Amino acid sequence: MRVGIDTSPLVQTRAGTARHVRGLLAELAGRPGLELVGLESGGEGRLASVRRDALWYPFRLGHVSAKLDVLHCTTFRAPVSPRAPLVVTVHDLGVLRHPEAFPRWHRMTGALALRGGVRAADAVVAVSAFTRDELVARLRVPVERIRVVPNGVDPVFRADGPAAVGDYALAVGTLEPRKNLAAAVEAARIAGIELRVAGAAGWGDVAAEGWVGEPSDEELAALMRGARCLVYPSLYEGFGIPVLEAMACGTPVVTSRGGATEEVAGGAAVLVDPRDPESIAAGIEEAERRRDSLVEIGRARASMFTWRRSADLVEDLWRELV
Amino acid sequence: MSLVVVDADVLGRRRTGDETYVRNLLRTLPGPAAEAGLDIAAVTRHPELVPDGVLPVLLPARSQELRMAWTLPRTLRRLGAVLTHTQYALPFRCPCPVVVTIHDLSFEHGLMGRRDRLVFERVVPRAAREAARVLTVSERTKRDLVEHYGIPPERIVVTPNGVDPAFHPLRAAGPKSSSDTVSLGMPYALAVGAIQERKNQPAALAAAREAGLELVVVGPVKDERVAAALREGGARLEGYVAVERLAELYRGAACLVQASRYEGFGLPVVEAMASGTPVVTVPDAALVEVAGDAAVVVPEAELAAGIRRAVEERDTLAAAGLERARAFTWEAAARATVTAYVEALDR
Repeated sequence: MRVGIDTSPLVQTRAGTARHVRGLLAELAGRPGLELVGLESGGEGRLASVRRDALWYPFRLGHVSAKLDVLHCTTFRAPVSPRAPLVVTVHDLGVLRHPEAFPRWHRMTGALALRGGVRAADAVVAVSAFTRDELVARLRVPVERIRVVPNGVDPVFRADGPAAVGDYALAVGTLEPRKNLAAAVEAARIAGIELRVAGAAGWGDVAAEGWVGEPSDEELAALMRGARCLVYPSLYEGFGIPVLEAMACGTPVVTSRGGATEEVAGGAAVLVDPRDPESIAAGIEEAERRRDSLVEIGRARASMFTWRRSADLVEDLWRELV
Repeated sequence: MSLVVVDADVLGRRRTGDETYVRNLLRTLPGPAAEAGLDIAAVTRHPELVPDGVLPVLLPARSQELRMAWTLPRTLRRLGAVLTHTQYALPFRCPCPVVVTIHDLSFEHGLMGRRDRLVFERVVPRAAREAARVLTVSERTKRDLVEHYGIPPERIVVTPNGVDPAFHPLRAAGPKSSSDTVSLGMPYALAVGAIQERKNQPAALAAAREAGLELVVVGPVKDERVAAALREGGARLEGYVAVERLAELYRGAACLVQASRYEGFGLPVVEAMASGTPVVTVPDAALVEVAGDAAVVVPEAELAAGIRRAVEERDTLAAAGLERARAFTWEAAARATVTAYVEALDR
């Protein structure tokens, strides 16, 4: 079986989408009976983005797919008329729910591309039940066409390993409005604890006190191990990989109630109201009090999410479509 | 040919294990029965559910007592039955010998509601003593019958349950997403069985939570208090589900957690094994008998650690489980059942 996978996210970002592609590829490569073909339109910068989103995804990729048994697009951007069974992964509906949180080009074209992508797809992969329900509610995608395939945790994130020194709470996320980092900063101030913020520079004039830049995965794992807790009060997520990464590192997690973060946390995190810094601060204190049990359940929870299992689910889906 | 009438009143009535038993026996009995010169008929409220090769006989029933006392014996006389096969109870003044299946004696262990228990305590011992042959689904129930009622062991035939062919592994654990609220792709532990004290689902829930998993519970609600406690604790109650859906749920589960206080057999154990899903269970006599050495068996207090082990050792447990499940087929159960019919007729 020849499967083409869109690997463009790998050249664009290191955040959740790229982790998804990398985790699946590493697991699926070399499996018997599978021939994987990486497809990408590289290049950073505005011109490359426009070329990719306006020409490569809608047209070129459809042409290329004629020689494939399955085409798997790892974001919602996909060809308008594919020539092979098409799978589209949808990470979240942020571009519909919170358009203001995206840069202009993405905001203008994303909504249209998302609708087109899920319509052209023979099967849609949602990374959480939350995203699945959003697809059904907002885009009327028939539920039987959607498969939930959660993300996994990279083995870099484990409890034993070097830990950063200091007494601090950690916030993780690209500096963009959706990640709600200002509330995390305010909550840490109320709780009287230093906050370190790790993530790529983003958009929307987000500045965060305590920003330590964008660490490598090893550095991030060390930051997580050394932290009193992860504070992750995101306003909207399709999954929320940092929740599991922190759990795998043996770090208690404070995250938003409702939505995908609650689903991913699965009872192993302190849930708070992300719009209320007081609630987040109380969560940080609760995480301190319940540290031992949160660490134990969290590590168990994280161990359930492996890329291998996710890859099994994806491979099954491909084989059903052929 | 001589006619054997199977009481199939449970068909289509969501009777979990008892219904699975009758449905699969009816499916597999005709072959071996024909070789022994026997025809099979099934009396039921749902003749449309009777499989090919079995003569369906409609018998509506408003009251179970009236049915066993009057309408069933009358039907047996009209059909000219040479033998009848019932579950738990004997028809009153039965015109022919009876083979009775007794799945378990849970009512003797204080694990049944009072009203049901009073009926069972009167009906079952009599049935066991008067039947020409007693079928049990495990050595465990056979031992119970010998010890509690002094039934001669040679009159008891053990016919272990089989596994419905709907339960099979995919290459991986890949259930389809459907219109329910359970996030099938997300990892979860599964508990299967009617919701009641005896099945002890709250212990499974506590263990799953401790192991970082959600618990999905399949089975009709028999005890509303247990169901409320489960909902309160965050378990997802799927209710009674069709066999295809159940098969999906097994395949997608991180493991099956069976914490029952008493079982006559424990069908979910072999169903999960046949689906390639690891099984975590408590050391109940029947569950251990069925599981062999292909499951993680731990005391109730250590279920959470057992779940973690099952997840870590998924591959070895899945392989051992698949191998174990192959030993349980409805075809073998049907052959042993027909042998018991022949013995009952010769007596």
